[in-house]
Amino acid sequence: MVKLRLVLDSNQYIFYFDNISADLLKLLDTKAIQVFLNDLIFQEIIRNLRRESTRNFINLLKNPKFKFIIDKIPEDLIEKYKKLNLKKGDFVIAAFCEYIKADYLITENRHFLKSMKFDKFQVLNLKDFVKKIE
Amino acid sequence: MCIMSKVQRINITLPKKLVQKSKILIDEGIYSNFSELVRQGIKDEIELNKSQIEKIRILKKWFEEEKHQGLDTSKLSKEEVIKRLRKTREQLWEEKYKFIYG
Repeated sequence: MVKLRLVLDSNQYIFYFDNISADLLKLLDTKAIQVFLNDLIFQEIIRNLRRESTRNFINLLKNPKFKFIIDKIPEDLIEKYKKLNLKKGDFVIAAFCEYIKADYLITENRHFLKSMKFDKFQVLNLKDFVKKIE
Repeated sequence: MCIMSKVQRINITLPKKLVQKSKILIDEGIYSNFSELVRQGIKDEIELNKSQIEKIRILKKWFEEEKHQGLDTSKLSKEEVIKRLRKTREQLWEEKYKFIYG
């Protein structure tokens, strides 16, 4: 079974733990997905997650659908996305998506959603992605 | 060379039935003694859960690296959360990632 490779931006995790959206659970019910995470996304979440939710977050990540990537992203990929004038740090996320061969970046970040199309992966918010795969 | 320094003796408690069944494996010569059986069992279990063990190691490392205390974003609106995360991404860029990817 070919699994869709996803990168979930930090906002999607926070929305779930702040009870703004439960779409993350629907997503994790989907069999044919893998969710990739790097240290940047992890740190953003930890810095914006209330202490009571930290343990739940860590437990969520133990789900085998989550894959952690610790590799340094190649310079040429970083440069490619820097040239697109993405905001500070956003180009690290975009380069990470291409590096892990993501099919989708799932985010609520308007700069990603509205500013441009990427050649190597698609950008959707979680609600639309869940609709798409249902 | 002291071989004992590389091993650690531990006491374990097991159900009698499990011990009796495991004796069959030793009597049949599959394992030379009970210690070998337990060693192999643990090795197999580690091999089987290798990716999960690696995941927990990475999580622990990332968690230890992050010294900041989490903020309570639960009272914020969706838009405010997005703004906060933008700020955090910019802070992390300045603190760490510009030295790696700058």
